[in-house]
Formats: sequence, C-alpha cells, structure tokens
Amino acid sequence: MHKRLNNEAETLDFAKEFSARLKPGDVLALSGDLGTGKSVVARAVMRALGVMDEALPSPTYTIIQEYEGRGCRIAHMDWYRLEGADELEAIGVREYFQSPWICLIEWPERALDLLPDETIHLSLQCVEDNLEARLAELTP
Amino acid sequence: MNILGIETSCDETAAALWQTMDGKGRILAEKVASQIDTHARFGGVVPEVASREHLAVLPILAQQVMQQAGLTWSELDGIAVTAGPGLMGALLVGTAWARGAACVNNIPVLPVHHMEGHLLAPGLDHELPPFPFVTLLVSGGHTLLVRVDGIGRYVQLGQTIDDAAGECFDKSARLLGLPYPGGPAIAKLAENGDAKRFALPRPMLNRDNLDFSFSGLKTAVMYAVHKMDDMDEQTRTDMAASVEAAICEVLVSKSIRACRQTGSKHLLIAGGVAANRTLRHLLETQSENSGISVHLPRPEHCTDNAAMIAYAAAKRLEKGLAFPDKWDARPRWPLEELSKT
Repeated sequence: MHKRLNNEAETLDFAKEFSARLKPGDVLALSGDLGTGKSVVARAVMRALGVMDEALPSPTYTIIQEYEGRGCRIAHMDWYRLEGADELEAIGVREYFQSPWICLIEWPERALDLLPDETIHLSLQCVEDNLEARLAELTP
Repeated sequence: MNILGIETSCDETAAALWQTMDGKGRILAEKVASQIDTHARFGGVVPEVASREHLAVLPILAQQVMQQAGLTWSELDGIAVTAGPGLMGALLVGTAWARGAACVNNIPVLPVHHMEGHLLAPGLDHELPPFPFVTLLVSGGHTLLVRVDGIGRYVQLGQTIDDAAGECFDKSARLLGLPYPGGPAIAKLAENGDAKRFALPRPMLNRDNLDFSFSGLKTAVMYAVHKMDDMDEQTRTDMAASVEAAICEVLVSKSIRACRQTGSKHLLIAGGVAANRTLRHLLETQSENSGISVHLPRPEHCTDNAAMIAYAAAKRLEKGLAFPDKWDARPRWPLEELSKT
C-alpha cells in the first residue's frame, strides 16, 4: 500500500491507524534516510500502544530501548551502527521477535536476513515538491 | 587509599589510578585508548567490535598505569569498574577483568555507575563546590540536568525527550557530509562560520521545564540542506556554525534556568560535548551575568575516562557508602536508583 502523507500530523495519524493491527510477536521494520521520520513514526506507534514514559530517547546509541505498553512490551531498535547479522545475533535481538514483544526496527537494512518472514515493512521517503510530505509504503 | 579505575562502557578503554592521602586526592596515572578510528568508518560505535578491542587493550593499559604509578597490586585498596549503563558486551569485558584481578589480589571490586563518574568528574581537576550543585551531563547518548545533593544523592531535573545533544551533532554532521565523530567536526568547521546565517529552531527553549529535544533541530538542518541544490564550502561552514549555536544556546539557557530554580550558585559540566569551545565560552559569559560559577573539567576528563570511575568510588568509600556484594553489569541503570541505596 502506498500513501502520501502531506505533513507530520498526517504521518502521526497514519502511524496511529496502523498501530491498531500490531500484536505481540509482530516486527515492524522502518526504512528511510536520515530525517525521513522513522523515529517520528516509531514514537507515534509506541504512544498508540500505550507507552506512558515521558521521554522516548533515541536508540541510536543504545541500539535497543525497552518499554511497557498496553498488554505488550515494546523494543525500539536502531541498527544503523551495526555491521551485520552476526553482531545482532550476539546482542540477542531474536528474543524480541516473539510475544510479549512488539519490535520496531530502524535501519533494518543492516541485516534483512535476520528479520522474520512475517515482518511488516514500512518505508518512508521524501517527496520532491513538498519538504514536509512523505511517501509511505506499507507491506503487507 | 589507592583505587584502580576501569572503564569499558562504550568505545574508550581506560585505566587510571586515584590516590587519596591525608584528605587530598590526585591522579597517579591514567591511560585512555580510543576506538574512534575503528568506529569512524561505521559512523558510530559497533558493539561487537568494541568488545573485542576492549579485551585486547584493557590488560595492557592496566599494567601500564600500575607501572607508571609505581604501585604493586598489593598496594591497591580496590578496583573500581563501570558496571553500567552501557553496551552489555563492552561492560562485561571490564567487569569480568576487574573481578578476576580483584579476586587474585584479594581486594574488593567496586561497581560504579558510569554517569556518577561523569557527574563528579569536575572534582578530578578542582575541589568539588559545596552541595547542592547542578550538573549538566551532555554527550552522544545523554543530555541531562541533575541536582547533586551529595555523593550518591542525585535528583534528575530534566533530560532529552528524544535525541541527545551529541547525537544531534553527529546526525547534523552526517547531513553535512562531515566525518564521525560529528561534534568535533562541526566545531572545527564552525570556527569560521556565520552562526546567524541560518535561523534554526531552539527546541524547548520557551517551555518552562528543564527537558530538551533535539530531534526537530536535526530535521530543520535536513530541510535547510535539501533546499539548497548545491552546498558550497562557505554554506557548509555557516550551517555548522548555526547548528552549533542552536545546540549550545539551548544547553546554556536551560542549565542556568536549572540553577535559578534550585537556588544553586554552582554549575558543573560533564560529558563529551562539554569539550566544545563554543559551549564553554557561552557558559562562562552567560553564567557570569547570573552570578553562577561554572566548573569545567579538563577536556580529557569530559569524555569517557577511568579516573572519574576511580574517583567516584573513592568518594563513595570516604562517605562510608556501601558497595553491593552481589551485582551484575547493567546496560540500563537509571541514575535515580543510586539515591535509593
């Protein structure tokens, strides 16, 4: 599914909307260049899933941030600084691919092979004619 | 009292010896091996690589500081080691080594919270000011304001709700095509730049609280870069200066606000970003107007080092604060938990 999101508010609504289909055991892979809004979407999803923490710090340095949601736990990851599947295996990311976890992964390209087959992919990209607009592609 | 400090929580391997004698303390020896060169090609720290490097370097560094200080292992009163927060694999190298060395030499191993080390680091170079004081801890992974009521008594006043200030430097640098680490690269370029050329946002400045947010600033940099078809060298230089000014202004005004709100006359700065000269300069001028004295560690004590770990442990021992018998390396370890023990 392709969708044009004209501004951040529409991006937030879109994130909230598809969060409703997420359940424990799901993995959401968020692709897109620096600044396309991967973290904005991840934070909106976490809010929609009931995360109450005031601060949702970036996982860029810590690789994994864990949260408590409504009836689930959420792992927010950033694989940018990793080199490949071996390193991810070493830090035990597979544990997060099952219930009670819902796993949100930024920069999944670092180790696509490691993702479960059922992974939901969301990619975001900028649009030529409007700085704030994004094109979102959601599969499946 | 002689304490050997060990730090391996991220991409610096470090060992140092702190001595307290007749109420006066000093660093006998210190060494830091940085992995920045190794990590530069990845644009950041790589956990697995980091662990392997720590393992190769730590025993050598520890031996070197012992020799430099002219101490034998039997003269040590304890081995202080960063137990968290940090990367699990990296922490395990330091804690396992410290436990082994302490066991062999029959001395206690003292687990230290990495941030407590940073919070007290200005005390390595000058006496700590009277409590309570405010510390701004600002690095790649952290941006927080803490009220320090005493050794082991910390109250978090504010923090970043998304990206850390150092991360904003790194990501802005990436957008400008500059190398890792981004902070020094931007600072170097900014020296000759016009900080007023680009009107970047000052996130959270008008909010009354002491929290920070830098993710929107990074996006503003991206938009400004996208708007230009081609970025010439002067534009890049001016953008670097504008980014640096935006980050530093927010850090300084929130820190001074924290001092005002808590009635503190002393502001300490710690963490890697504290080495930034624009930040140091702005702090010194702004705080003078507000009657606040600023305490800055030497640049090498702003970034990760082992002297601060040995020092924090020594201060805890002097205070009679207990170290736990049973403990494990903790990748996540909220600072507030320290005040509960």
